[in-house]
Amino acid sequence: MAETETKILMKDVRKAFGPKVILDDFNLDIKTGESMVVIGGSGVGKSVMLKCLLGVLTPESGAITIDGDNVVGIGSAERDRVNAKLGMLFQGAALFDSQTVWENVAFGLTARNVARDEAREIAMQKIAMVGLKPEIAETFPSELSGGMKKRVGLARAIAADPEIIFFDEPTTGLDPLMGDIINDLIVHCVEATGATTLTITHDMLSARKIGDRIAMIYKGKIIWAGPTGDIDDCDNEHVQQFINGRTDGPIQTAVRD
Amino acid sequence: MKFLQSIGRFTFGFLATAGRITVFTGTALMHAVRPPFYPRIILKQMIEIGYFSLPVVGLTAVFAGMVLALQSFTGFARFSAEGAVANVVVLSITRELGPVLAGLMVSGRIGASMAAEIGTMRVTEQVDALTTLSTNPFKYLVAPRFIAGITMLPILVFIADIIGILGGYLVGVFALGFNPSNYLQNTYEFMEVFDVVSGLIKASVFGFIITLMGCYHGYYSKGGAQGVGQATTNAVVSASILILCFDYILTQLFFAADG
Repeated sequence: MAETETKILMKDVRKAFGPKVILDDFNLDIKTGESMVVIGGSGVGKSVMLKCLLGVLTPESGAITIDGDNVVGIGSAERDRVNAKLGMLFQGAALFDSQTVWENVAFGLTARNVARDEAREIAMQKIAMVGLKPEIAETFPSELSGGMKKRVGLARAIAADPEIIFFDEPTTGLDPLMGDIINDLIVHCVEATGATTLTITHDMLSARKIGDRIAMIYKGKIIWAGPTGDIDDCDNEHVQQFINGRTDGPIQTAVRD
Repeated sequence: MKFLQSIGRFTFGFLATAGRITVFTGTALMHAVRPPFYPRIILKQMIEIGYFSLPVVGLTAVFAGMVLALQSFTGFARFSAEGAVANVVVLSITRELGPVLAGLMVSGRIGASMAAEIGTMRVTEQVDALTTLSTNPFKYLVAPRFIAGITMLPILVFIADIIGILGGYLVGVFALGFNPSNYLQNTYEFMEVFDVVSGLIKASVFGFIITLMGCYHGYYSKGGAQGVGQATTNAVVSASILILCFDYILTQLFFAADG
């Protein structure tokens, strides 16, 4: 059950690329143990938001805190300490081509000086946890299907038992059945690890299944946020248009402009 | 007005790129000398650059030596100075052709491969994944390649020097009728240690240039397959031009005093 303590806070965050403003006074508050899903169309700033949280991009202004500690503009040693709390499932899994499946899963552990044998043992446990057979551990990512790559990516994300896990479009590029399997795995893994999670997606089936709360991002701002069960009854026209997949409505008008 | 705008845009673009390369170089060098190091990756890159480039560099060197002997014989015959063939071959190979040809061949082979590999990692988010897994991409991807490039090119060029001189010897003895022991004696007597050392220093600088351009263009590639292709082309072209530029600068530095 979600607690009241704030785990991740983004306050008045602004990020622009030249004249193009991507995040504009962006605010988001995620409680400890909560599963937050951010929905929104393509190009509205979801991935930029995630990259600001990961420290890959630095916002021009505003504050980002994790466990109350500022994470904007910090040194690499501090960043490493913050990143030790994080796990991330990338949209395309982002597995390292030159390494075997188990080496991919164990990568973050060996980087944190866990002995190779111990890291391999943990990797094998996580591989089993995401429903993959042990034989797959010695294969390379190029030999895997899209769904299997996502599973390996998920195993890598949870390998170090992170306090926070980010999921970037976890079901994109998968067929509906595999997408649902990945959703179930995410729910299962999050329950097992007790992590706080942030998922960005435009897949409403995924959002409803994974999220405790849903927030919608549009033109660089959160325009609605609330419990997953409330989204169907909310009176925000943008949200209603998006979740029902209608072509007519304010979002389309904005795009035409 | 548009002409002035173009000049301004070009100047700012050039300065921005020069600044970015300088910062990239400084960051990479800093990570190359500070732990943690990745010995397995450094060794892998050394084998890739040194061992697997040997056939192409060796072939280039042997034919360069052979052609040099043939051409210099034809030219010197007009002045009845055929005896200087061995001298010209050893001087040209150790000072110039060895490092420059090896540099250009390795640039095409390794610079392109580095840009493509790191570029693909960039566009498939593998570089971002490294960051989230507590691994600095500069330390893991760039620094090992720098170390391998700077150390392996001189070794490669030293071998290329021997093969190139051997190529000149084969043509001199078997095609042009030189006495084998005289040819070898001329080669040995005329060669100075600094000729070889200067070539090896050049090789180290070229190794640095090749890995810098390969890593830099790969690291900042964007836009999918087309972006990676562009990065690969840019890496090879810029490294080749810089090799020729620095060849002149280093030659001027080393040998200007000789006149």
